[in-house]
Amino acid sequence: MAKDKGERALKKDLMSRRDFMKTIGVAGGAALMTGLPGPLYSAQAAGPEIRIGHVTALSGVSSDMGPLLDKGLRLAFSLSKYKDRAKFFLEDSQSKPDVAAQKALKLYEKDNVHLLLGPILGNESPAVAAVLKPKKKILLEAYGANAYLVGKDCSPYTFMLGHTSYNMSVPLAPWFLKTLGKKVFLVGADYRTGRDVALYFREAFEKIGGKVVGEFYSPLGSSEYAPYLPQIRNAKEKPDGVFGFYIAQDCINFVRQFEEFGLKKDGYVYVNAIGGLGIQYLDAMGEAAVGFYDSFHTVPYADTPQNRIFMAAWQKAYPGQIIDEACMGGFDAGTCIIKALDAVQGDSTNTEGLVSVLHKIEYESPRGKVRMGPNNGTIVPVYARKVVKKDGKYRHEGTFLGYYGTPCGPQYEWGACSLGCPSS
Amino acid sequence: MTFSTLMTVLLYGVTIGATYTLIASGLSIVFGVMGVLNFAHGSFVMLGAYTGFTIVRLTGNFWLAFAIAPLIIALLGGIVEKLMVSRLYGKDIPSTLFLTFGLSMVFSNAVLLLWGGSSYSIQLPSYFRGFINLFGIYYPKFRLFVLIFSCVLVGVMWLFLSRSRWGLPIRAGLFDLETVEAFGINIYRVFSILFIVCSAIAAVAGVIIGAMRSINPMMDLDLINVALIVIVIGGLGSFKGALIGSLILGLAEAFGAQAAPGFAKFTTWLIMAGVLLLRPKGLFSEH
Repeated sequence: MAKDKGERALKKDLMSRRDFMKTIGVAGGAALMTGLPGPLYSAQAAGPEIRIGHVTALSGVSSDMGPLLDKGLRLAFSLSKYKDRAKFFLEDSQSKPDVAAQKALKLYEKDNVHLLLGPILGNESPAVAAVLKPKKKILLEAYGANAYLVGKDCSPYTFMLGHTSYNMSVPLAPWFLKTLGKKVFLVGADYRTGRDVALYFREAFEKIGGKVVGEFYSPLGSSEYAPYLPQIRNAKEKPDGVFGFYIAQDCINFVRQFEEFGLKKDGYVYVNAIGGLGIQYLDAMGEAAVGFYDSFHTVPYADTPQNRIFMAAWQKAYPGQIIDEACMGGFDAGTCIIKALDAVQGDSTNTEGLVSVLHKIEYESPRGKVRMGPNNGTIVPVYARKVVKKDGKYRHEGTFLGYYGTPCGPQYEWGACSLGCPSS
Repeated sequence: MTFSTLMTVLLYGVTIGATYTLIASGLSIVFGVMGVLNFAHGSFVMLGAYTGFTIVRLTGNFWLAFAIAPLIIALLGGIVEKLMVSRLYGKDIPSTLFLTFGLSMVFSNAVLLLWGGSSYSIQLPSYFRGFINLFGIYYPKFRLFVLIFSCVLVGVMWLFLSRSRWGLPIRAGLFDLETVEAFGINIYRVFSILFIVCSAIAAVAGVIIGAMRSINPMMDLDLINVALIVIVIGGLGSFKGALIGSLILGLAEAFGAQAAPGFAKFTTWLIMAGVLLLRPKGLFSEH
């Protein structure tokens, strides 16, 4: 069934790609005519094909994000001098690690791509990295969060452009203490990321004088939180806020039921790590999410110069379609690749040259300034995002917390990266 | 566990169980009377949720969704029964299982094409939002409505099956279809009506679930999973079994989450395994 869903999603994506190609010319032309700044909008470069592979979820749990990431990637190229040279190869990972790895190999070995943008889920990325590492093939991860890939499993050929559980939870500890208070109730989905987020936050929070007054972890994929929520109200001390990590449907259900059972009305505030209150989920959450927070490295609709360029291009290419974290992630990855290509004179077959450039790359994208750390993990701006309602639409108000990478070393569970480790 | 917490969890468990009854009873009755293990039943619930969501989005009227969505899904159920399911009456169970399994794939892909992969939820009218304080228990207003509505609907269904003229051939059909036909009753017409009514009830459950939780293209699998566990516990083909099975499942989830949060789902599987070992046909099997 998953295969069938995948094929359907793929066909749908191909159809939308046709529409996309029609509109993208308009967007690119408009950008060139308005003389937008930055390296993306220079004259066209003639030359051989730049073959870019993208293995992402077109079916399965993260199928809502895959097509958007792909659209963002293509949009970045459509605004660049490489727009006529770039050729994209899209494969469905089905949100499964083994399928993602198999498709990544296929893209390199059969489609002869020059570099690859990897999958979404934290368990897919290491599976793809493991098969590409011995073959010395480039893997860029726009979304897949796995600290081991910037720790002991790092590789000169693997680049994490997104986030990890660590840099999306630890920066929130001092912010929580200052903004909400000293007492926290921890919650989360009972799987690796849910537990990691709670663990890293707890360590950082307790170190600065914070106190955990209770905690629970519900099974991943739960749709009913009614049995768990009374534990928050029954905690020995009333928490100043509730912190944790739920994703996608779990987060929608948790936030809605958090409000439904009166916790919000009684002054309990919920903070979800790693973009759980992403813009694509806010309509489904409705009023329940307003006033709650999450953390992430992008703020859709933020009024910054780079984001204004992106928003204008996106709205021309996809009128009426919401701008979310996934399409921004795809655009960010595209921006990074374009900057690297510029440094190797557009020679996408120069793998060693690209690797060397990517290892030290710095670029500006809609999310802000980004630079690569010594362990091939990006150091990104981290924001605490408050959900607000503006002109009848649910949006985020971002508070900049600082630039954070993912440190590594023997003291961390994910170990040290042989390439080096950033200090924070 | 304090008395207040005990009562809270009990109430939550009963409400979860009431929702499960709406999902599982249709599946159980269709199997019991018609011999059709309708794997697409979860899809009817899902389609009810999506249809309800669309109606609320277009009109802003929750009650219109509550009334129209079941009619649309009943029509769809009627078409499916007439064109496909009816051709397999009298065939073995795997034939109908394969047919409805295929249909469930068609429906989930249709949802993906029509509504995309995003998550939605049905917005409730303002008077259903918020909660009331029932003797110190914070209870959401809409869930209270769901509990009362489910009890009323279950009561009507029970009266229909046990006391009405239409209910008699259905109950008789559970045991001996040929004898029912020998009395001059057009049993295939009964089958059609039953399939349509159960599709409509599934859609009602869909609208309710869509207002309580998020709607997504993969929810059908979760829903059919719940329904199958309920009827394994309660017994295939038994309305009473579906009711009791749903309550057991709802209470097990609620108390399991309190006692051992990490094992809350495991509790339900454990109960199912226990029932299968001790009473392989379920607690109240009619067969």
